[in-house]
Amino acid sequence: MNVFTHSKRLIPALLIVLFMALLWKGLYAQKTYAPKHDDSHFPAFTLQDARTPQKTITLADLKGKSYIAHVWASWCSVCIKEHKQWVAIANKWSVPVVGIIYRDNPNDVLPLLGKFGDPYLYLLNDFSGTLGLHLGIVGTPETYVVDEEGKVQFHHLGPVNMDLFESKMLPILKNSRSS
Amino acid sequence: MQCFKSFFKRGRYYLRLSLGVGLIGITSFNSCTQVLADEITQEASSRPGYVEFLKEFRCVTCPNQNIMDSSAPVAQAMKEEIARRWEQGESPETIRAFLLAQYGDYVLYRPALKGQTYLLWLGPFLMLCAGFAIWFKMSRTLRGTRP
Repeated sequence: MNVFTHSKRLIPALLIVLFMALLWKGLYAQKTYAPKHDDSHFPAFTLQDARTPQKTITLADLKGKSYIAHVWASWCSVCIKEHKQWVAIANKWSVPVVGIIYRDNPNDVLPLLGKFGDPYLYLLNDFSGTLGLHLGIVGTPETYVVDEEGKVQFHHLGPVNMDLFESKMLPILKNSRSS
Repeated sequence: MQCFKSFFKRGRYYLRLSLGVGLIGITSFNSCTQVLADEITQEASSRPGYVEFLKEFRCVTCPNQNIMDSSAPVAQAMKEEIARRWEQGESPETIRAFLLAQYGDYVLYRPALKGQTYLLWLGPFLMLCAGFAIWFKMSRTLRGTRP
């Protein structure tokens, strides 16, 4: 058996190993959508406050402020479970949290806030989901930390708890205020 | 007694009517907006090419479905936005560019042919060619060893 015979077997074997490695990598590859909105500007909007429909809020109302924007809905069970975390966060840190109710009915949302507490500075009614689309949301709940320049500094998919808030979001808000 | 019964019946009727009117009043804003959105999507679906266009986009909430087949809220919002833009006469290219700007390549069910996706598009053909090459080689070897 010479080197040539060896290589004739080696090449298909290598190809098979390479192919298997590719499949193996695919198993662990990130399959979900990766947020791309870090460090981009929060999109412009004109929406009603679900609590006071005669009051229209625009991005200009948030100019110069650092804040949290939280997209949620009363039809989203994860959001309802998460809600008490936001009430606790707002009570402990008194940070401005802008709630965005996504494709929801204020009549379903307001009783929930009455029952469990209302941590929101504004409660934007994104009934059509247009602001959600401009934010590039994948599903509720999603949370954005926006600095004083209106830039999204952090974006989180899924529910937030006090630990996550204090470790990832609060430092951004504090830095933003101190600078 | 008859009169009382009739008054009671009519009273219940008015009560139901007023409750109904009240409920319609409370929910009118959202339901009107929804009816409007439904009308726009229905109108757009009768336009040529619209349904095929929807099938180009991935539902970002449930990645194995296109937005046409998905009933996820984000997919619904995308459909309504596309329908609105379609009805306003925006070109498919502009609408595609809008969604790509928000979600990146991930939103396209058929990824564009470019540097990062060459292997994805050409991989199956390369494998087919490799299969043919192996088959050709093996058949020649077998023919050569036949007594």
